[in-house]
Amino acid sequence: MPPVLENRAEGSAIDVGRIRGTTDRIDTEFTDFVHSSSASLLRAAFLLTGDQQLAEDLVQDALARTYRAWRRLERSGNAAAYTRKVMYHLQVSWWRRRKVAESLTDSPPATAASGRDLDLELVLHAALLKITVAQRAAIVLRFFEDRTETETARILGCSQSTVKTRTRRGLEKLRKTVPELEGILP
Amino acid sequence: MNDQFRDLLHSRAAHVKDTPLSAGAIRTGRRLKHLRKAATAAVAVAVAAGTVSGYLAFKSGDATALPADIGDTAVWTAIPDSMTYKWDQGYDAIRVSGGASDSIELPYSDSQSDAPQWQISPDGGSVSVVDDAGLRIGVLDGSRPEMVYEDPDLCKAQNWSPDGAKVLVGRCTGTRTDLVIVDADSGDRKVIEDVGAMSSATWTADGSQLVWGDPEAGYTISDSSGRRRDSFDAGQVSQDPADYMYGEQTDKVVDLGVTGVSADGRYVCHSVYWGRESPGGDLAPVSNHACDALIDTTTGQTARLSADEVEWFGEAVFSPGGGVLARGRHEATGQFVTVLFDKDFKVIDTLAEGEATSNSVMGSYTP
Repeated sequence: MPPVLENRAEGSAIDVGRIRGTTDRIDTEFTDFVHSSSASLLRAAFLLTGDQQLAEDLVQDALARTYRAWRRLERSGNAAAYTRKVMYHLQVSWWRRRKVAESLTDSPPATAASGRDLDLELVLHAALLKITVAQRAAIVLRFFEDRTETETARILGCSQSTVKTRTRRGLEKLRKTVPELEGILP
Repeated sequence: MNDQFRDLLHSRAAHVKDTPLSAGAIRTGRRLKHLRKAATAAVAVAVAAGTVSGYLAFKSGDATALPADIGDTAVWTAIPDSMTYKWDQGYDAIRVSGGASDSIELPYSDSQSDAPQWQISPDGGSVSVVDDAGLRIGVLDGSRPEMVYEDPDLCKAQNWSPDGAKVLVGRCTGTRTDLVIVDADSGDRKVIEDVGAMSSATWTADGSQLVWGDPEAGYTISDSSGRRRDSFDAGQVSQDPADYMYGEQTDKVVDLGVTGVSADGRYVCHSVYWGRESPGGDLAPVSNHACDALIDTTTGQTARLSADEVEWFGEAVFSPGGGVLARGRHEATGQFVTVLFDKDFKVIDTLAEGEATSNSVMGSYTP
C-alpha cells in the first residue's frame, strides 16, 4: 500500500470512534427534537396536503433535510424554524411537487367531540384543497399557526404584500366555494 | 371571526396521528449526506483520473462527447417561422406565426384541485399533461390529451426530449423518486429507479443523455437506460448578487436547479432565485427553459449572452449542434425578444415578439 494511503487508513481508523460518538450524540439530540416538534409539524402538514400519509411524507422529508444540516443548526439553535421553512418549501417544490389528496381519505373520528361541526370541517377541508398551494400555505401560517404577516413572509420567502395578496385571494376563493363559511372567515 | 376560523382549522387538524418519524428521517438524512459526499468524491476521482472506469466517459466541456451523427439539421440557422409559447399561469398556449397569433386553450382550469402541469413539445405540435391520474399526451389543439401512462404517483413536472419522441417524468413515492421515460406515441416506458435527491431533470441538447439531481446533492448524467450513471459537474452559480441584478436590489441568490445542458456538457443553464428576501413558496422555476445563469463548466464562469437592446435573457435552449436560442426582454419596450446565437454566442437571428406573448414562457423551439 502506498504510504499516503496507509496514512489515510490509519487516520480513518482513529477517526471512526470519534465520528461514531458524535453521530450518536447527534442522533439522540435529533430524535429528541423530532419527538418535541413532529406533532405540530404534522398538523400543519395535514392542512397543507389534505392527507395523513402525504403529511407524514412531507414532514419526514423536511426532517431528513434538517438532520443533514443538524450540526449547523445546532449551533444556531434554529432547527424548528429551519424544519418549518423547509416543509413549506418542499410542499411547493418543482419536481417533487406533491399532489394534494383528491378525496377525503382521512375522515375524522365517527363520533365527534362536543363542539365540533364535522360537516363544516369537511367542507373546509375540501375547499382548502381547491386553492393554490401558495395561498394555502399563507392561510395555514396566518390562521392555523397564528403567524404575523412578517413571520409568514419570512417563512415563505416572499414580501408581506405577497402574503397579503395570497391570503386575500385564498380567503376569497374559500368564501366563494363554501358560502357556509361566511361569518367565520376573517 | 379570526378565532372561529382558527378554531375550525385546529379542530380539523386535531385528529392527525403523531407517528414516529425520527428513524426514517435519520435514514433519509444520512442517504442525502452520503449522496452529496459521493457526488463530490466522484467528481474528484474523475478530475484526477480523467475517466471513470466502467461508467460513461463523459467530461464537461469535452467536445468529442458530441454524438457522431450530429448533422446539418442539428445546427440551427434561423428562428423557427412558428413558435408556440406557454402562458405562465393557466392553461393557454399562444402560437405565433408570420406575425399573427392565436390562442389555444386547454380543457383545464386553475381551480382544479389536482393542478395539472403541462408542457409543449419542441415542435409545438403536441402537448403533455400530468394530472393526478397520470401522463396524457396529445395534439395541441385544445382537446383533452389521451392518457398514455396511468400512474397516480407521478410528480407533476415533465420534460420533452429534444426530438419530441419521449417525455421524461418523475415518479414520487414517499421519499424515493424514480424517473420514467415515456414514448410519446406508444406509451412504452423505461423506468430509471431511485435517482436520489432531485430538484430537476432534463435532457442534454442532443437528447442522448439525461441529467438530474439537485444543487446540494449534486448531479448525475446517464444514458437513457439509467444504468450507465456518472456524476456531472453542473458548475456553481455565482453568489455575487451583481450577476443577477436587473435593476432590482438583491441580497439573496439561490440555485433552483439545472434546466438545460449543451450536447457536449460544457454549458449548463441554471434557474436562479434572486431577490431581497429568502426564497420561499414559489421556489419552482417559472419555465422548463429558465436560464438565469449560463455557466461554462470548463471555466466555472458565468457566460454572458448579449444582444443589442436586450436588457436581459431569462430563458434558453441549447441547439444540438451548438448555439443557443434565448429569450430576453427588450430594454425599451419591455416585450420579449427571441434571439438565436451561434456556438460562439454571436447573434444570428432576432425576433421581436410583440404584445401577444407577454406573460408567457418558452414552449416550442424547433422548426
